[in-house]
Amino acid sequence: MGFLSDQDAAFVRKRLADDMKDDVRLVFFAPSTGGLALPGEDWEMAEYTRTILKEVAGLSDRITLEEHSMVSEPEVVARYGVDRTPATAVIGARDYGVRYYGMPAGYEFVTLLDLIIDVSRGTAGLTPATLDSLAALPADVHLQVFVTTT
Amino acid sequence: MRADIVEASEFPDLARRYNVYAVPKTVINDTAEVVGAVPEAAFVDALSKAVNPPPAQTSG
Repeated sequence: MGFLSDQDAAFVRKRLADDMKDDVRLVFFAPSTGGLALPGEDWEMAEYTRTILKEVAGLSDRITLEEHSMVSEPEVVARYGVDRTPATAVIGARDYGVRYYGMPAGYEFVTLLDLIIDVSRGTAGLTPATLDSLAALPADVHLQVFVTTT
Repeated sequence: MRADIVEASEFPDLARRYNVYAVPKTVINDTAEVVGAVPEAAFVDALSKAVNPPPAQTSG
Protein backbone atom coordinates (compact mmCIF):
# COMPACT_ATOMS: atom_id res chain seq x y z
CA MET A 1 0.00 0.00 0.00
CA GLY A 2 1.51 3.30 -0.95
CA PHE A 3 -1.08 5.83 0.13
CA LEU A 4 -2.67 4.44 3.29
CA SER A 5 -0.84 3.13 6.33
CA ASP A 6 -1.67 -0.43 7.41
CA GLN A 7 -3.69 0.99 10.30
CA ASP A 8 -5.63 3.38 8.07
CA ALA A 9 -6.24 0.66 5.51
CA ALA A 10 -7.67 -1.60 8.23
CA PHE A 11 -9.95 1.22 9.40
CA VAL A 12 -11.18 1.94 5.88
CA ARG A 13 -11.70 -1.76 5.14
CA LYS A 14 -13.85 -2.12 8.25
CA ARG A 15 -15.86 1.02 7.59
CA LEU A 16 -16.62 -0.06 4.05
CA ALA A 17 -17.59 -3.56 5.20
CA ASP A 18 -19.88 -2.18 7.92
CA ASP A 19 -21.56 0.63 6.02
CA MET A 20 -21.81 -0.31 2.35
CA LYS A 21 -24.96 -1.81 0.87
CA ASP A 22 -24.91 -1.87 -2.96
CA ASP A 23 -21.79 -2.43 -5.01
CA VAL A 24 -20.02 0.71 -6.19
CA ARG A 25 -18.10 1.38 -9.37
CA LEU A 26 -15.41 4.03 -9.37
CA VAL A 27 -15.31 5.15 -12.99
CA PHE A 28 -12.05 7.03 -13.37
CA PHE A 29 -11.09 9.30 -16.26
CA ALA A 30 -7.44 10.23 -16.85
CA PRO A 31 -6.05 12.31 -19.71
CA SER A 32 -4.84 9.09 -21.27
CA THR A 33 -4.17 5.52 -20.22
CA GLY A 34 -0.91 3.67 -20.44
CA GLY A 35 1.36 6.41 -19.22
CA LEU A 36 1.38 8.58 -22.30
CA ALA A 37 1.73 12.15 -21.11
CA LEU A 38 -0.03 14.74 -23.22
CA PRO A 39 1.16 18.33 -23.29
CA GLY A 40 -0.80 20.53 -20.88
CA GLU A 41 -2.33 17.63 -18.95
CA ASP A 42 -1.44 17.01 -15.33
CA TRP A 43 -0.71 13.31 -15.70
CA GLU A 44 1.08 13.20 -12.34
CA MET A 45 -2.08 14.32 -10.53
CA ALA A 46 -4.05 11.76 -12.50
CA GLU A 47 -1.59 9.00 -11.57
CA TYR A 48 -1.79 9.85 -7.85
CA THR A 49 -5.57 9.80 -8.12
CA ARG A 50 -5.47 6.44 -9.87
CA THR A 51 -3.26 5.09 -7.03
CA ILE A 52 -5.69 6.30 -4.35
CA LEU A 53 -8.69 4.83 -6.14
CA LYS A 54 -6.89 1.51 -6.70
CA GLU A 55 -6.10 1.24 -2.99
CA VAL A 56 -9.69 1.99 -1.99
CA ALA A 57 -11.06 -0.53 -4.47
CA GLY A 58 -8.64 -3.08 -3.08
CA LEU A 59 -10.13 -2.69 0.39
CA SER A 60 -13.60 -3.94 -0.53
CA ASP A 61 -14.98 -6.69 -2.75
CA ARG A 62 -17.92 -4.38 -3.37
CA ILE A 63 -15.88 -1.67 -5.07
CA THR A 64 -14.50 -1.96 -8.57
CA LEU A 65 -12.32 0.51 -10.43
CA GLU A 66 -12.84 1.19 -14.13
CA GLU A 67 -10.23 3.29 -15.92
CA HIS A 68 -10.95 5.32 -19.03
CA SER A 69 -9.17 7.86 -21.18
CA MET A 70 -10.56 11.33 -21.90
CA VAL A 71 -8.67 11.26 -25.17
CA SER A 72 -9.34 7.83 -26.65
CA GLU A 73 -12.80 6.99 -25.28
CA PRO A 74 -15.07 9.92 -26.20
CA GLU A 75 -18.24 7.81 -26.10
CA VAL A 76 -17.62 6.85 -22.47
CA VAL A 77 -16.74 10.47 -21.65
CA ALA A 78 -20.04 11.57 -23.18
CA ARG A 79 -21.98 8.88 -21.33
CA TYR A 80 -20.70 10.08 -17.97
CA GLY A 81 -20.72 13.77 -18.89
CA VAL A 82 -17.25 14.57 -17.54
CA ASP A 83 -15.47 17.60 -18.93
CA ARG A 84 -12.04 17.64 -17.29
CA THR A 85 -9.59 15.29 -15.59
CA PRO A 86 -8.85 13.67 -13.29
CA ALA A 87 -12.53 12.81 -12.82
CA THR A 88 -14.19 10.00 -10.89
CA ALA A 89 -17.85 9.06 -11.29
CA VAL A 90 -19.07 7.21 -8.20
CA ILE A 91 -21.79 4.84 -9.38
CA GLY A 92 -24.04 2.71 -7.17
CA ALA A 93 -27.20 0.82 -8.04
CA ARG A 94 -27.70 3.67 -10.47
CA ASP A 95 -25.90 6.85 -11.51
CA TYR A 96 -26.90 9.47 -8.96
CA GLY A 97 -25.04 12.18 -10.89
CA VAL A 98 -22.07 12.51 -8.54
CA ARG A 99 -18.63 13.32 -9.94
CA TYR A 100 -15.37 14.01 -8.10
CA TYR A 101 -13.00 16.28 -10.03
CA GLY A 102 -9.41 16.22 -8.81
CA MET A 103 -7.36 14.14 -6.43
CA PRO A 104 -9.22 12.96 -3.28
CA ALA A 105 -6.24 13.38 -0.95
CA GLY A 106 -5.83 14.76 2.54
CA TYR A 107 -9.14 15.54 4.23
CA GLU A 108 -10.93 14.97 0.94
CA PHE A 109 -10.13 11.28 1.15
CA VAL A 110 -12.81 11.10 3.83
CA THR A 111 -15.14 12.92 1.44
CA LEU A 112 -14.54 10.17 -1.11
CA LEU A 113 -15.26 7.47 1.48
CA ASP A 114 -18.48 9.20 2.56
CA LEU A 115 -19.45 9.50 -1.09
CA ILE A 116 -18.87 5.81 -1.75
CA ILE A 117 -20.95 4.84 1.26
CA ASP A 118 -23.81 7.26 0.49
CA VAL A 119 -23.95 6.10 -3.13
CA SER A 120 -23.82 2.50 -1.96
CA ARG A 121 -26.75 3.09 0.37
CA GLY A 122 -28.63 5.21 -2.16
CA THR A 123 -29.21 7.83 0.51
CA ALA A 124 -27.34 10.62 2.25
CA GLY A 125 -29.34 10.62 5.48
CA LEU A 126 -31.35 13.71 4.60
CA THR A 127 -34.45 14.76 6.53
CA PRO A 128 -37.94 14.08 5.12
CA ALA A 129 -38.48 17.85 4.75
CA THR A 130 -35.34 18.06 2.62
CA LEU A 131 -36.42 15.14 0.47
CA ASP A 132 -39.78 16.83 -0.14
CA SER A 133 -38.06 20.06 -1.18
CA LEU A 134 -35.69 18.24 -3.47
CA ALA A 135 -38.54 16.35 -5.13
CA ALA A 136 -40.12 19.71 -6.01
CA LEU A 137 -37.02 20.96 -7.84
CA PRO A 138 -36.79 20.91 -11.63
CA ALA A 139 -34.72 18.11 -13.10
CA ASP A 140 -31.82 20.13 -14.38
CA VAL A 141 -29.97 21.40 -11.29
CA HIS A 142 -26.18 21.52 -11.30
CA LEU A 143 -24.25 21.80 -8.03
CA GLN A 144 -20.52 22.44 -7.97
CA VAL A 145 -18.97 22.09 -4.53
CA PHE A 146 -15.47 23.54 -4.35
CA VAL A 147 -13.11 21.94 -1.83
CA THR A 148 -9.39 21.87 -1.28
CA THR A 149 -6.85 19.46 0.10
CA THR A 150 -4.69 22.20 1.61
CA MET B 1 -29.59 16.85 -10.36
CA ARG B 2 -25.88 16.66 -10.95
CA ALA B 3 -23.34 17.24 -8.18
CA ASP B 4 -19.67 17.85 -8.85
CA ILE B 5 -17.03 18.00 -6.12
CA VAL B 6 -14.19 20.13 -7.48
CA GLU B 7 -10.67 20.51 -6.09
CA ALA B 8 -10.23 24.28 -6.30
CA SER B 9 -6.43 24.17 -6.28
CA GLU B 10 -6.33 21.76 -9.23
CA PHE B 11 -8.72 23.74 -11.40
CA PRO B 12 -7.74 27.39 -10.91
CA ASP B 13 -9.71 28.53 -13.94
CA LEU B 14 -12.91 27.30 -12.32
CA ALA B 15 -11.91 28.75 -8.95
CA ARG B 16 -11.39 32.12 -10.66
CA ARG B 17 -14.61 31.93 -12.65
CA TYR B 18 -16.65 31.40 -9.51
CA ASN B 19 -14.51 33.58 -7.22
CA VAL B 20 -13.63 30.74 -4.89
CA TYR B 21 -11.59 32.16 -2.00
CA ALA B 22 -12.84 30.06 0.87
CA VAL B 23 -14.04 26.48 0.83
CA PRO B 24 -16.39 24.81 0.85
CA LYS B 25 -18.25 26.92 -1.67
CA THR B 26 -21.23 25.53 -3.56
CA VAL B 27 -22.24 27.05 -6.88
CA ILE B 28 -25.82 26.37 -7.96
CA ASN B 29 -26.67 26.42 -11.67
CA ASP B 30 -23.77 28.80 -12.32
CA THR B 31 -25.76 31.63 -10.80
CA ALA B 32 -26.16 31.30 -7.03
CA GLU B 33 -23.73 30.28 -4.35
CA VAL B 34 -23.56 29.05 -0.78
CA VAL B 35 -20.34 29.73 1.09
CA GLY B 36 -19.33 27.48 3.96
CA ALA B 37 -20.71 24.27 5.39
CA VAL B 38 -24.20 25.48 6.25
CA PRO B 39 -26.90 23.46 8.02
CA GLU B 40 -29.01 21.19 5.81
CA ALA B 41 -32.20 23.27 6.04
CA ALA B 42 -30.35 26.47 5.15
CA PHE B 43 -28.73 24.81 2.17
CA VAL B 44 -32.04 23.45 0.88
CA ASP B 45 -33.58 26.91 1.32
CA ALA B 46 -30.80 28.51 -0.72
CA LEU B 47 -31.14 25.79 -3.34
CA SER B 48 -34.90 26.28 -3.67
CA LYS B 49 -34.48 30.06 -3.96
CA ALA B 50 -31.72 29.70 -6.55
CA VAL B 51 -33.76 27.39 -8.71
CA ASN B 52 -37.11 29.13 -8.26
CA PRO B 53 -36.33 32.82 -8.10
CA PRO B 54 -39.17 35.07 -6.92
CA PRO B 55 -41.17 36.59 -9.82
CA ALA B 56 -39.92 39.98 -11.04
CA GLN B 57 -41.96 43.05 -10.12
CA THR B 58 -44.09 44.34 -12.98
CA SER B 59 -45.34 47.87 -13.40
CA GLY B 60 -48.75 47.01 -14.93
